[in-house]
Amino acid sequence: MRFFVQQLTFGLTNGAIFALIALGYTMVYGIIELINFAHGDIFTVGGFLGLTVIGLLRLDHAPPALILPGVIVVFAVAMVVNGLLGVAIERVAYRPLRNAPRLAPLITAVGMSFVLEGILFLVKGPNQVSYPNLMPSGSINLGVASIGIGNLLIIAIAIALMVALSQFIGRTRIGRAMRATAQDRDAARLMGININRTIAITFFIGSALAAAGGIIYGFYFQTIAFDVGFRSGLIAFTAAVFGGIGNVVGASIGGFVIGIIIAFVSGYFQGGGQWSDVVVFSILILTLVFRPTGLLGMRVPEK
Amino acid sequence: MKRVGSADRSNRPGTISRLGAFQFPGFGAVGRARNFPYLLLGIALIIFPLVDSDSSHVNVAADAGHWILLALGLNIVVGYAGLLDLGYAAFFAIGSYAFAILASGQFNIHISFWVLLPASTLVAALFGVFLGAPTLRLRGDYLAIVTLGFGEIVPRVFRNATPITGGVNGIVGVDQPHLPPILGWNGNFGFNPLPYYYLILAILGLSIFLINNLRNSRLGRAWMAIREDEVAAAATGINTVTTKLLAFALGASFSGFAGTYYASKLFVVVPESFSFQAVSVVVLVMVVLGGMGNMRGVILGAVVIYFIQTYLLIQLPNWIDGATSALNIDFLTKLGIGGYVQRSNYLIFGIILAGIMLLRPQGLIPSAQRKVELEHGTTDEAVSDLRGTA
Amino acid sequence: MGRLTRPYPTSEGPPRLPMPILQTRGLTKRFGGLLAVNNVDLTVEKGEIFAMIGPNGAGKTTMFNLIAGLYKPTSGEILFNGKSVYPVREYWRSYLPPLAAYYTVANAARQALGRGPMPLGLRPHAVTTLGIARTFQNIRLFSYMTALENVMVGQHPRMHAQVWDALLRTPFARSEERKVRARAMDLLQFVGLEKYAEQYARNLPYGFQRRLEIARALGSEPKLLMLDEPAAGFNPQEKAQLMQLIQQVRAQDITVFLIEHDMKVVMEVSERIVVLDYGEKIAEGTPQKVRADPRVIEAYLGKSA
Repeated sequence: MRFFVQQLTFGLTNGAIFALIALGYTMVYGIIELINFAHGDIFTVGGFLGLTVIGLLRLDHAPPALILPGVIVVFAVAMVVNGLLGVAIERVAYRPLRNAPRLAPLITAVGMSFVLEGILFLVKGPNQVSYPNLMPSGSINLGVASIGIGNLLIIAIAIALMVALSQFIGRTRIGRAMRATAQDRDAARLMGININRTIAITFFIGSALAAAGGIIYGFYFQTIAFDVGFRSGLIAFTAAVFGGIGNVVGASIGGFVIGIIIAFVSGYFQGGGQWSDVVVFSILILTLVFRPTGLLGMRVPEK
Repeated sequence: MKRVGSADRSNRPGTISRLGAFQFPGFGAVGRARNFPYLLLGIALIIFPLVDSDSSHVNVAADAGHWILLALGLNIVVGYAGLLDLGYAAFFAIGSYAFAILASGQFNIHISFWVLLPASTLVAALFGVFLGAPTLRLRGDYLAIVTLGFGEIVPRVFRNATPITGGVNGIVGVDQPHLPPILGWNGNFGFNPLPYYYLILAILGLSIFLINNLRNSRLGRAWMAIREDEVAAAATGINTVTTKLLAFALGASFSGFAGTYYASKLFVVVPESFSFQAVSVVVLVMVVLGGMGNMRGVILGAVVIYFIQTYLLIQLPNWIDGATSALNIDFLTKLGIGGYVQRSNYLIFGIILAGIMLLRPQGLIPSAQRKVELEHGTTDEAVSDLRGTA
Repeated sequence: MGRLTRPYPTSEGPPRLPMPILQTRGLTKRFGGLLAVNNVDLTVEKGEIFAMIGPNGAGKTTMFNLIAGLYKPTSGEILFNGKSVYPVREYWRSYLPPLAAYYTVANAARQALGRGPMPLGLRPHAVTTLGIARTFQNIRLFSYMTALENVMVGQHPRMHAQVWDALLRTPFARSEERKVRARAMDLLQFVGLEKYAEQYARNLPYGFQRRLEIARALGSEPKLLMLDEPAAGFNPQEKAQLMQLIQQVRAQDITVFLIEHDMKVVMEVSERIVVLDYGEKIAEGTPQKVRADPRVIEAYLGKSA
């Protein structure tokens, strides 16, 4: 039982990270129907940005009282900068190709992914870089098992961000503009919505959330490397498709579900860690073949 | 019926660019004139190892050969049919491992290379069909991700299935081809790059012939139509799913073919050599750089990238270090600029991919259609822009 | 037989058989909450020039797309030459008992639940292979292929070269290519574009592009040619040429079914017309009859007229 709870916690925490990344994928796909291959690497850059801020503020050596405000600053700065990076990438690499045949922005996205990885590779080297864990230690004892406070905090942060996003999309004017642009771009334009700005905002939010995911990744795994985003990105994308591409709630749920599945596969099967990727990939294929709309989605990924 | 356009040359695109790579064979005086440079090139390629005493050059050329083959194969999928396959390395791995398992000390099975070459091609094609059948109905974005996943899974499976595939260490001691003795040569390929060189030269020649035929056939036109406008292609009676599947399977078979050659030449197969970064992206960069759908361009792109990858990036740091110390700008050497250059292949590939698509989508050598677009511009702009509507 | 002796307002066509080439029965298409096509019964006689008109949004293009296989009907039937247009899967019904069982059970279940029989429709390429070709409202040519190549692609469903023929350039493939190329030139000549065979489709003027699309559609040797607003954007002279072309197509024993907004073209060239409004058929008959029908006038001009 203790093992079960342990794996469940691990799955939910890991899933929170996937969910945050998946949100970016699903939002961008919803609005411009492009799988942003570079998004996984934006996640990595966000994590590194957080690391840089932590280094600048010397938070790993700070007195406990300053940690909470410090972490908030780290999140804020990294998320904003990463958001701007996402906007810049969209402006430079995707917007010029908005009317080009489908293949062109796809290849450009792969290229941008490599550019980001290349820069990180050059600057930070191929090895894993250690990441201080600024989450509170200690755990809550539930009698049958104990759950780390850090885990709970991570899950809480992720859920808070998802709820905030959901409210934003559902209730604000900009959120409505995003939904309108996603459904029918020309009609939205005719209604006076600034398409370019709306798309830029979408990228900003997606990249900011990815940065949050990156920082959480760093705290949780206490290490980060230039190619971390590749694998996490693929898994997060599967989560987005599984939950329903274009659907924000679906991406969140998908992230958590995939995280749990990975946790249980690696936990309960001998050598499961090796095969968890195969499981995830199979989920992707099965979803696309049998239920392309995903759990909650409305959009079908066929022509 | 009067031959159209023969009197009015101003509107026609140049014949060489119109026909792309050489027509084989070229009939008539015009054909011979057009093909002459390629004939010279072919002769040069055949003679060069006999003239050049440095056998490492031959080895480099023989290695370049399988990259060119890979690029030609991916060009069918990406260039002709317009399908983004990011897991091309998977079929390469399948071809290599299939050969290595059936022709090495691993299980002490030693089937002949010449039998396994077509066999592994078939196996790779079958895997192409398995992967393609469920996923080719989906949009291009999804196909890309699925192939990416597949390209990740396959080497991982090979890495984990240790009893069969030798796990992390792979299979060492892959058989090498044998031929009956000719002209004083005992027929063993061994570690001599020369027979491999001629083998890959022959394979490439054959492949170019076959692919060129494909391009000017019913199937080739169907691929181009699908790439242009899939809905219109379907309305014209083209079964898009099976046509795309054919492209995918043919591309996979080229990859498997190259894999077998690679395994036998290298003598060793390890799972690390088949990763996304090591193979799939490199071949994609070759195809994109050379111009998707343009066979000559793709061959050139392959040569250029191969050169950058295996020569420039390795030698350049030394040159730079040499130059900076000669010019007394030592601090750059101490900064490790050489090391930076050497580690910049990711960045270079990313810049090439994004840069080409944004700035020069037709690649190094423009294919006929793009060239016409450039020549004629948009003076006779159609009222409806055909590419934007989908 | 009344139909055979009906006077034709336009040129003579070949003798008419009383067999409809296309029939829809109770054809319905629902998109979520929107009922785009509602219980439409349509009959197109073999060898006639048939038009479908109606105000914008009446469901005309949806009907086209249903017949052409782009949409699956929500319910109803489409019959081509008297035979129901079933999906390719159906052909396996006779070969694969489990599949046949599935379809039988599914059909019975649907009937028991009060819904119509299983909605079936062919995929677009199969429809074309069957003998129905179509053009598009906003021209969809292969812009980076020449006019000749476009028409050669149009002949794809009637060609038989396979993969190995393509790879090896077998004698069969070569002779077929020659024939296809020659026929493509003939078709281009038929629509008057033979001088532009080597021009890239993108560079052709608008009017020529429409004609090229018709030539490409004719490449598949259709029995029924469906034209979606072929006269859009034409000046009167071009419209006259188009009407002449339609007559010539019909003279080749091909039935023509067109959607058109331009009343002059419709009234002049078509022999029978069906009028749709809000997805329903509101009138059908000869141009004279339809023109005078009060419901048609109301649909176009509003109740005050």
